[in-house]
Amino acid sequence: MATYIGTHGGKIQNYSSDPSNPVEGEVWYNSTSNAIKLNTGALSWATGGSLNTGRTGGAGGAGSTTSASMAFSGDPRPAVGIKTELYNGSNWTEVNDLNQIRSAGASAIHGTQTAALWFGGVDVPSGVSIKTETEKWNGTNWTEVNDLNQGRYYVSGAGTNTSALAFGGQNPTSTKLAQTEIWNGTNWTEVNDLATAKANMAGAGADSTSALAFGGKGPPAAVIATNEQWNGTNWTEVGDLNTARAFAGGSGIVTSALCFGGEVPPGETASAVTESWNGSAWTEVNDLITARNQTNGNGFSNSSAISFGGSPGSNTLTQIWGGGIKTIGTD
Amino acid sequence: MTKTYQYCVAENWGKGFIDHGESSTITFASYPGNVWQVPAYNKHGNLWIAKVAGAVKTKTEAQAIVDAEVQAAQAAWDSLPDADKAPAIGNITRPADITLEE
Repeated sequence: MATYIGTHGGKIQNYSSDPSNPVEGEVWYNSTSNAIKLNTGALSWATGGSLNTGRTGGAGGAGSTTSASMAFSGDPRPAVGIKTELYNGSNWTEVNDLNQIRSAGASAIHGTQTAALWFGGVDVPSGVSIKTETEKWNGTNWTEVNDLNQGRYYVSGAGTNTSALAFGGQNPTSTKLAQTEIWNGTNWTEVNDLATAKANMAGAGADSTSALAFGGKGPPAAVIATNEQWNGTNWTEVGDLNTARAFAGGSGIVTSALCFGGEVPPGETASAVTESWNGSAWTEVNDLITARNQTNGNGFSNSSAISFGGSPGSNTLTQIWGGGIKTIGTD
Repeated sequence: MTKTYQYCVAENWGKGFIDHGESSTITFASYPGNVWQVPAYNKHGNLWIAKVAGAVKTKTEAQAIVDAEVQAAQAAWDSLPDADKAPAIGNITRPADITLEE
């Protein structure tokens, strides 16, 4: 009988859990699941458990992995605007509500199920009351903390609940904003502006010292493809998305990010297009199973992300980005 | 005329309904009314429909299901107060008609 060492010249590495970043073609043995696994390299979207409360634009997300994610706020208000749910990899569970009904705010997308942040937005659907408020999640409850300096909605965010970034957005007259603010765990401080004022961007970034802001709505264009990178002091334009869009989902960090779905012309058509950022350029990869406008999501890299809610149709839909790892044998 | 797509009705039960392998090999599209579109004359698509116990529909039958769902959603949207339709903050637009492909 042929053996792996006989045909490949090396033993299979033994791990208690799957390696976090295996290279394409890598084979290993998972001693916990007693399985031989192969990284095929092809990432794709799969269905996940449905949200208990359907939600669309302006919801927030956090989570360290796709099996430990968090969804909060969103439209339609008022019913959805305060709802919070946690995902365990299979099912969403409703937990304690936000204090304020609002949507179209932003979250620190590298928050976790035990430490999240939610800021800005608007309150009731029939009136434009722009929010400056910030709420912090400790794993059990939301607590109101210090406000943003610039109230805004359709704002974007990055970082964690101790080191976050708020950027862009719009004011009550729909004027697009370039302002950036840094959260140090206690207060917001205004820092240097985006190169171009815009709203409805997707974001990536692990903390307040590094972030990406991609897509969104202008002027000058209705939907835009530009991508700006934050280095802790200034924003610099880097490689554009291949598909201009607004209201897309975003995840990852400045060297490994994902952009998925969103709104594209004509009108407010939902897109299924997914693009992967490697630190210097965007590459189109496998589409969302179901095209989503105003989807929400999070994730820590371009190889792992979650998309939840959005429109049109069912706004309880969850899609998981990952895979690439196949079980090719078991004990 | 040769079909490009086939349709079925199947309820998305969540995790495992479409896995990463199926997502990589089949181009899916979903429509209101739990209508799913997969490539016609495709082994992977046929196996997936069998896995999810999908009720196969002709394009005409699938279109009728989609139309009924869209019309109900449009009626619900039309009955909203004007203030709740404000595009600047409502985040909700009137559902658009959908035309399925053969």
